[in-house]
Amino acid sequence: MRLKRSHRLPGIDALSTANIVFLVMLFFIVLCSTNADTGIERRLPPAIDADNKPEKIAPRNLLCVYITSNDELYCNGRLTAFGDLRAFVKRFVDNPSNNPGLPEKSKVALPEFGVQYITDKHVISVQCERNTKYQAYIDVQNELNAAYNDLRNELALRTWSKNFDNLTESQQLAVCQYYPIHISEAEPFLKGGRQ
Amino acid sequence: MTHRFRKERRLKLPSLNFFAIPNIVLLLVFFFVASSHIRQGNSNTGVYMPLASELQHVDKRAHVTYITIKSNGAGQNIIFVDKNQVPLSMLTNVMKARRASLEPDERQYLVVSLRVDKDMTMGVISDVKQALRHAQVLNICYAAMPEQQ
Repeated sequence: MRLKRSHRLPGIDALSTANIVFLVMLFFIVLCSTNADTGIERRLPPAIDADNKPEKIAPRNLLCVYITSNDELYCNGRLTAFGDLRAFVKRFVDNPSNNPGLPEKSKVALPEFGVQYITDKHVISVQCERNTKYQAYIDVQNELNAAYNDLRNELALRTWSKNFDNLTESQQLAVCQYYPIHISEAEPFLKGGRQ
Repeated sequence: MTHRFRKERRLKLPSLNFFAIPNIVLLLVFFFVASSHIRQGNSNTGVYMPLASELQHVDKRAHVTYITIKSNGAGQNIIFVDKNQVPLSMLTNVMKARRASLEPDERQYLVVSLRVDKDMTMGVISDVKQALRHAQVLNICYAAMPEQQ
């Protein structure tokens, strides 16, 4: 009887695995970061060559934001305070009164909204000098993003009484199509920003 | 009656079962692995990125290449592609090679994150952007830090 009892396998001490796995977890927490890269996304136009000519843009559809090396701001050749930029861009993109001096509206069928008149041909071009500070350029790009985000949020509140972030995915997509972002990264040093 | 008394004598605190803890912590590990991404590039390069409030997150599917531009202290600008220093004249070729190394249907997800010091001037950034255009790498992201409010 006694012999038989000593045949039992001793239990493995599994308590230390908890410590080991905790170490693995801490290793991953240190190595990884949950916040992915953040920034301001833009798309560059393709390089200009023989078979890829830039399109002509009607003057009313173009907003030229020019940043001098002294951080002065010119919107279509007119000196503008940085604080006024957002309202200026919002009025330009939205064109609420169908002003002939602001971008033309075209009839577009949108999901969720049906047929709407939107300024889908507008272009905002940001230009600067070689000595313009990068922070000033990012401030302007940030303000442009803020203008679009404001417009989208206002549209969402008007239509569904919800903030843009709380909309469903298809609603968000429709709102983004209502106010498409057209910010040109082309020709950074084009003359004509300051007339 | 006797039966009930005997039962009370045997009452003892049961010991905790610790065998489940490794499983729980492993679950936590998997959670962290799934919800985060491995830090790439060099985060301590002395680049002070500009501040902005309207930030976007780079798509999870994106193949991110980091281009770092900073001053070397002697008034010259140096450009890094991921961790390798690249002269401006070679940048188009380097990015073309990087684009060619991806599968054709993955190329649209190639994103360049521009990590530029906020005190740089736009001249060198425009030169880099022109080089990227010639390499047909068109998705860029101006990396920025969230503004403290």
